[in-house]
Amino acid sequence: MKPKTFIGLLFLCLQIFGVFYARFIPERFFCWGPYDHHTEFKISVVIDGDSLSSEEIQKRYRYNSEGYERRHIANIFMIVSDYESTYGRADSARVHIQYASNGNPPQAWTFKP
Amino acid sequence: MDIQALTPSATSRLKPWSFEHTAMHPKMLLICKLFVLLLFTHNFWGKLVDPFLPFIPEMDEFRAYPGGFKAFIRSAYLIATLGLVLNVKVRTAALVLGCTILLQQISSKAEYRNHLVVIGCVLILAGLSDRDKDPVLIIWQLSLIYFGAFINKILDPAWWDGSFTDNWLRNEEGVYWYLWVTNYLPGAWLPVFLSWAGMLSELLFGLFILFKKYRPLVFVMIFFFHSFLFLISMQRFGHFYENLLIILILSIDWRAWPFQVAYKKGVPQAFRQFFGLFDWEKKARWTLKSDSSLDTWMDLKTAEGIPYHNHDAVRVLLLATPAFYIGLLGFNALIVYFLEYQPNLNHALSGLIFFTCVGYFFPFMKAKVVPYLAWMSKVPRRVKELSPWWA
Repeated sequence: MKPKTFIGLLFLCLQIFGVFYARFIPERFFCWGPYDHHTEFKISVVIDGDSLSSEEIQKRYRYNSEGYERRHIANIFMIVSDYESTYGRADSARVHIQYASNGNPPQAWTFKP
Repeated sequence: MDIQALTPSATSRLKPWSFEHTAMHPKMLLICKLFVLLLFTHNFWGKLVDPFLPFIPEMDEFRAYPGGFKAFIRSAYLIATLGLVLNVKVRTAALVLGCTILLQQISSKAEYRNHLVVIGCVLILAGLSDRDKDPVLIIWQLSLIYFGAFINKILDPAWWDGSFTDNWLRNEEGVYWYLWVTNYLPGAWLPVFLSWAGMLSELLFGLFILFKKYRPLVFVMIFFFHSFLFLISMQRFGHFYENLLIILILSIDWRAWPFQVAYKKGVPQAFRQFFGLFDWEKKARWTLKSDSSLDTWMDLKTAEGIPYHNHDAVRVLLLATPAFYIGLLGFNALIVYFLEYQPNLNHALSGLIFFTCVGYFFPFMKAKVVPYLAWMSKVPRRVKELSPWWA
């Protein structure tokens, strides 16, 4: 087998691992689950008692603050919690996400500092 | 004889319009160049920025040097793109471009997009593929995409009872025909049917694409599956639909050229001029038909000696012309760009292009499917023959 074919196979095996690993976590990154969920969501952020506007939230996470998420909602939870645990840690923000997946009743997810 | 003059790089280097005589198969190079165009039209350049919530936390170290990572990744993107466009070290360029895309994806969770990961993976595997062998790595990649999608869906109860499909088509898209049809069907019959049809299709694509024997049929089915999905939902899923159509170029029979094209007297000069304008590599050699019988208005013979007549000849010419694909993708980009806020017109024009292409190339698609139809027609007889055994 040529080295480049071996590298190609290794690359594909890495992706198979991604598909397998995704079975054990809620997030859906690098697992070829492109459009398997449908969630209506709205993010609210409060810092020092002040609520951030939709544009400010979008700028903060570089992600839509509301609308429809076409991947698993856990992807958004991860983005928010990672941001608030690292870059935004000093802000002590309280984040609330109201969401409804696949037509189910609304649920809430909260990040507290 | 000057051996250097015959080497691939010497004949096509610095000629963006050339797709032959490189280290890649012309179809593969065309796919890579179309991806370059797709990335350009979707402003991928603007997405190449410093890491933001990277998947590998160590990449945050780059934030200590603002603009450093951005300059690096943009340079890699630019060099690889130029390499592919100018036919310089095309396989290395595809590999670097693919790695650049995956690096950009790893550098930001917020910027993660499946349709970009697909391009990155295909470019990497195109760079690792041999020119004169079947692109099996890319075939396995397609299989993996469909298997992954199937596994994600089949393990999700929202796909079993159709609640995902119903919520998507009813609440987000408000698809008129879906709302209308569901009124006449009992319960959740339609969303359940669509969900299971989607899952089963992905399973079958992932499985049967691995068998060379069934591959032509699977390619045609994939084309119709994604086109149907696009037409019913008006969704391109980022540019996933375009990605798939570009990858399906692999299924096209790339005829050996030069083509000997003989045309009947009376065929408009504009017709020949049109093809001449886009025949950048001078594949076709046009001659006036000398035969007086003139039962066909155009004959084409490939370098392999395969004859085509009339519209079949035009089809072969079009399919062997890279400008045809570039033109289609460019036109699609214009529709997406200028009609972003006019979804109905956007959809109507895209549908028009789709049905025109399918209508015109249907005889070629049919030719790929007919052998399987013949096989399937024998299935009832074979089952009947078996019936005494299992009855």
